[in-house]
Amino acid sequence: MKKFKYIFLLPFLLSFIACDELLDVEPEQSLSTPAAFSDKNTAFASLMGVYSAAQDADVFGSITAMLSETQSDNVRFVGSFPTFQEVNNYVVIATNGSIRSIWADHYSAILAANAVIVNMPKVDDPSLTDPERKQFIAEAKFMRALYYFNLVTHFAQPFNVSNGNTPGVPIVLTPDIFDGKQILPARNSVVEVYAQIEKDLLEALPDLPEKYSNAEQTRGRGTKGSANGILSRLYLYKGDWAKTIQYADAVLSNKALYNLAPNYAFWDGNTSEDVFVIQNSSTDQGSWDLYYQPAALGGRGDAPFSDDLLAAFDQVNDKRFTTLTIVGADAGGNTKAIFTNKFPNGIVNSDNGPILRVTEVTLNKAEALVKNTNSVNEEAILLLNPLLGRAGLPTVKAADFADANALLERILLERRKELCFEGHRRIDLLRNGKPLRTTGVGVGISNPGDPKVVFPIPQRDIDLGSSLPQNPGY
Amino acid sequence: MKKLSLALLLVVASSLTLLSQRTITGKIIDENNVPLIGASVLVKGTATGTVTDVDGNYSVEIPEGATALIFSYTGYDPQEIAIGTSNVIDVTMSSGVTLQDIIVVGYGTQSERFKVQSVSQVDAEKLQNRPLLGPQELLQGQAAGVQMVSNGGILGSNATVRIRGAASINAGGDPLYVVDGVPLNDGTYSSGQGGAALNPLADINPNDIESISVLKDAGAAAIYGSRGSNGVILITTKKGKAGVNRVNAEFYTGWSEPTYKLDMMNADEFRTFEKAYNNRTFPETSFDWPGAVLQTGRVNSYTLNFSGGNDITQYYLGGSFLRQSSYAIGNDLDRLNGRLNFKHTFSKKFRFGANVGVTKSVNNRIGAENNTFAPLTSAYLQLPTVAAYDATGNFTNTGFIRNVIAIEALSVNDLITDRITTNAYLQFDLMEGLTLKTDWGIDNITTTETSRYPNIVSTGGTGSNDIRSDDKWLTTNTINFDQIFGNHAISAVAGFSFETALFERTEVAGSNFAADALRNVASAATPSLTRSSRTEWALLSQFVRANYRLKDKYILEGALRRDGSSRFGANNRYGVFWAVSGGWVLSEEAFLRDISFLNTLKLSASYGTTGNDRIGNFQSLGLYGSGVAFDYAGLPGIGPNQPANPDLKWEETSQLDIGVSVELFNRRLAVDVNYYLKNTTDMLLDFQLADPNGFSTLTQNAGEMQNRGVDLNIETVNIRTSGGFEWTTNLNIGFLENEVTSLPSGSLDAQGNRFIGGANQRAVEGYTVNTFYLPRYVGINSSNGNAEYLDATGNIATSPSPNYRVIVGSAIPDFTGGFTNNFTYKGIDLGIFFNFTYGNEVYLGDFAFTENPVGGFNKARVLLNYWTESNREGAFAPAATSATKNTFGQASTRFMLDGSFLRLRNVTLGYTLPAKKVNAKFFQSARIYVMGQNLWTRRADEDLWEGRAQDPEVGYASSNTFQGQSFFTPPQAKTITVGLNASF
Repeated sequence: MKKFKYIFLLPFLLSFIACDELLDVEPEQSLSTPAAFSDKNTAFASLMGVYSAAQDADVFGSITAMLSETQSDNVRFVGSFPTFQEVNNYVVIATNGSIRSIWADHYSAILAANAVIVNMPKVDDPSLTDPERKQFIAEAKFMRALYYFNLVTHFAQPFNVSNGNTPGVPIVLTPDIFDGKQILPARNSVVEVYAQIEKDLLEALPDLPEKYSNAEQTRGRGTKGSANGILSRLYLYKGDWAKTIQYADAVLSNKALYNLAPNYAFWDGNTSEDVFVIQNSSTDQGSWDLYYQPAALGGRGDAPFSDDLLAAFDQVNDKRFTTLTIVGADAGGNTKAIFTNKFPNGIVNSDNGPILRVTEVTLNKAEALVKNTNSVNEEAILLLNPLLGRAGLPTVKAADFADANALLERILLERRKELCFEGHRRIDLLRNGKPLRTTGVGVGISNPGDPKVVFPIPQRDIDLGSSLPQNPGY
Repeated sequence: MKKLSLALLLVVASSLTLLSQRTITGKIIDENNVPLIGASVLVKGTATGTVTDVDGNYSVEIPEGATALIFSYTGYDPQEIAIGTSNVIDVTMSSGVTLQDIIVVGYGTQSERFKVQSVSQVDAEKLQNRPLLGPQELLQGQAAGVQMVSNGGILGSNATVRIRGAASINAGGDPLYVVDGVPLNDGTYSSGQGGAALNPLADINPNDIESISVLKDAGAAAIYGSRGSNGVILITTKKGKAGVNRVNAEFYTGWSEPTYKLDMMNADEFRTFEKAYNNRTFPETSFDWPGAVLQTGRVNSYTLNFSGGNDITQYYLGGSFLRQSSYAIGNDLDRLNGRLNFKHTFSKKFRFGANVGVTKSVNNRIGAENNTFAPLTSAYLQLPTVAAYDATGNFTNTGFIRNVIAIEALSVNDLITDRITTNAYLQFDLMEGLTLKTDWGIDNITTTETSRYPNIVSTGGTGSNDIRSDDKWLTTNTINFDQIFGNHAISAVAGFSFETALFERTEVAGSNFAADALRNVASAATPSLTRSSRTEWALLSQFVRANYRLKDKYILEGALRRDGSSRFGANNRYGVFWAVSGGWVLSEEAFLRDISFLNTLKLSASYGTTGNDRIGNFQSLGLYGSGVAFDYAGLPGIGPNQPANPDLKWEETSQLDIGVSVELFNRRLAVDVNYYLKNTTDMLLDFQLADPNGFSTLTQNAGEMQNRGVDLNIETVNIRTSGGFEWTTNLNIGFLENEVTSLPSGSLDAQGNRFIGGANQRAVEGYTVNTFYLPRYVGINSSNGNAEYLDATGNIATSPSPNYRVIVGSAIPDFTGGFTNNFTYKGIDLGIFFNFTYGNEVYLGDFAFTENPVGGFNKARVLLNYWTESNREGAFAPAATSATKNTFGQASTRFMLDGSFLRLRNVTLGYTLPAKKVNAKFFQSARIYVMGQNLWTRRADEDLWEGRAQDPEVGYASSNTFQGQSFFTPPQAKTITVGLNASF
């Protein structure tokens, strides 16, 4: 029995041996922040994280573009989310949770980009060459520019309202929160935000590669072509026609990489039609089918064609209608609703997000040509005709247009039909001084400068004491 | 003659031998001549014994050599009576003065009489055979200061338990649960499926529980250190008692239905309304969705246990099987529990024992709340003009609002739980009064959640499999000292413990199946998820508690614990927690001893600190996440997912408790009153960051909160006649005032108050942690049919703009409690138990959908009463022509209602068969009963609830800042059960 006593004392001895090391437990699915930039591999992975942030449904995933189309006149929104219905019904309030998600998720993407831009030079790994460092920074800047561009487009009035001297969005360029420093953001003007986007893109341009080793990356990562294409869009929105043409040409002249697709089979294909496309797989959350596909095909059936958009099409001859639509049941109970078929992978949720394609660059240039010359511009007609031909419609000639405005209207109409559901319609209307709605709810309150054509600054950030003047009307 | 004498002697001797195996009978009564039922009779030094019947009678066969009988009964002094020549031994038991009820406290037990900790103990007899969703329900209305709210009525629903209020905002608010010394894993082991995850404690068998102790003040909880702030709940399972070998069989069966059903339009009403109000036309089909998803729930429970033993070894072996279906289709549960508890005295100084509990349950789940796959959500939202079946009788695909009938008929949604909770211990007496104990425990829970939705529900079909396990082991080593030296009684416990748990999770999911019959993810053409992860934490502690008692009058106690936790920042890894308590038993003083009606009067006070460590395992570290959320174009990626805070430490709560206990009139009136003041400092807060920082929150220690209140418990014996009639009453009430006293990191609302939280409910500085912040709804203007609200300054407005939000109420009740009356007469017992909640608001988010007159879903019938020229007064909804109809579904006080209620929680009528009517040789006792749960509910302001049939009892687990809100929360079940208990 005596022996038992001593065995028994063993655990008590343990209490003195037991020490701190028992409490050293490390996370196994995450890296500490310093480890994220410790070598070339993790630094590159951090850069991929910047792109991955674009897959978020609220960034360049399905929601932002769908809401933008809903707010304009392309979509007949029949879904059930009250926060989306508010957008459709022009009764958005500043506590709208979906809009806050768009705002917050863009800034978390920007944080990832800022971290790469600031930390890449400090990566202590000789195998990371200087050109690689520069290229990775350039890619992050390209993405940061895209994120700011999307934000300023949705949360601020278009540049043509007061020439950009309206409140834009806060510009944050450093990952201060990693150092425990929190910022109280303030709104920069639209002019300042545009300038920052321009600066990032122009700085990135020389260091970006022309292409990568495979199509997925050439179409899915920042390239000279994609930076040039976004610049053409930026200048178009800003009203700098000459530069729009200059940067559009920089893309269109690179025939080795970029060509107008001969038909509409290019979707999700990473073809030469694509300049920059967010690559989505079924494990990502960004697939664009969700709201645009009927339930039978795996979507929600929330956002079929509006009557206004249907009326814009020659439904018999226009291949953009005949090959790119599908009939199905919408979420409102209409079993014969017409949906876009640009994003057909509803079952596996893997549709890529089309951000920039040759068709848009072509139309950017055509529009700028007409506006720059204020004439029935022959070159613009030459750019437009291949699109009409591809759609199976008769081509046009200068004599068909009474004046420059008639040609411009035709270019904008074709732009609508080419790019519908891709998130362009709202800003295309606003920057051309047109109302978002000409029938139904929104008539009279959807002109550029009207309160409800832009999203509110989320109430939460205003409540946090930031210097963020709310958009008027919220 | 000699021969004869010898023969006679032999006969006498043999008859003496026969005599020594005789039977002794008797009756056990208390001081008031009331028979004691179930009192234990044990033949000293043997395993032989029995219990008394309903008349207090016993009969025991005593073996040769028996010297004495030991009589015992809970709450009374045990008696040892030598066996003489008489075959009848009647006993009068007296409720002890020195030995009263023993209550379970942290790392030990104490006598009720001398305890200076604030502990409420709920004993087994109150807990039996109720069809419950989880063991937490046992606490509802049973202990003052303990608020328990069920999160809903479906099987496995979680429960929110708050002891003396929520002591935290962003860290967890649940108490620590400890079963036989093993702190339970209570993480998230199931998906939410629209609401909160299922109850992590649901697999504990309520019928295995002997008692539940609720440690409320710092004096009681400080010994649990960094985990004591939310209170501690100690569950003790049933143990065998020496001497009585018993077989106990129990069975009950029951029927349930929901307490409330939302009152929705039928197809004709809907079509007429939509045409008239929204000029929308719907097809002529009709289908009653709510009717199709509701059913009569069933429950069957079977329990069999064996218990008993002798002075050397005691055992309890039990098993039970529960089969239950809820009032909603597709929701059923099978649960199998087993338990073996034993204790063995190995030698004079050396004892060991183990308590082993195993469980397996299969829960066929349904979604709930914010989930279109949930029967009780989608059945109410689905248009009544949409049919579940097409013309050929096949299921239809109803789109985003799913065909929940098809889902329940065709899909798989299972949660299988395996759990083993065990401890084993060795005890060694070093010397008289000094005992060493080493206790090793595990709590291993594994859940497997499988879903498989067919083609008709989700095109191509989807499937997932999610396996979680949380394996804990711990060792607790203590040294106990307990000695009385004349007037001085000293007891102390000191020890150390190490505890660690490893959580592992493996998830796979896929879509696109060739056929619905292919059940598993292996058959999916498109894998969508492959993920495996694990996370670990550890806690290293030393603790000590000492208690000194002088002349049974003055009591002084101190407790100290030092905890080190892996969860906290490198700069703040260790924390020290302590408490001091004192008590004065006034009734022992000479000047009170002569007051005949005063049995006990005790004053006690305690002050001390506890902590809260309920945050994620790695909240102090700055992290870059990995995996599919960060990959891109087939290349692995990482991205920021958490900012760093190396200074992160425990949240600390200091608590003052002052109590008075009085027992009067021969203990027929007992009153306990405790006042407490709890201050939480260094609160673990999700410090709100403006979104442009890139993170929305940063976990920090900031902010202070106060909970103060009074716990009142009154027990009375109203009537006790010698004829055997007894009426007892228990009333317990917890009054609570909660105030967030400092929120340095909070946002500023329009009124300049700091807050943290959501748009409608938030923690506001100077107000409660669950403050509702909403635009105020006024009503429908009878002259123009507009819905009217108040703006922030009180002027009439026509929309519920967020700018009009003001503080309008709180989800925290002023008081909660329970009121129980028990009546017994001979073998008949009747128990009537009400619980109540007063002074809280609830926000019913489902009304924002069902009462939105322009929404795309089915609508509540109350909307039929909309304003028209001929219906101006008392209209519920705005005019069809009023623009205010478009914002009528937006958040306002229109959806906030008084949440006070009085509920007949349980009523039980039982009859215990007299032993003479059953075969006394075979049965020791038998009881039949009928029980009703939630049969009657009275809500405050029933007129405001008119037409809005929703349960006022709504909660949401695992969040301190989202209480009293519902979104199609499945209501509580109204249940009738009948049962039979028999002992052999």
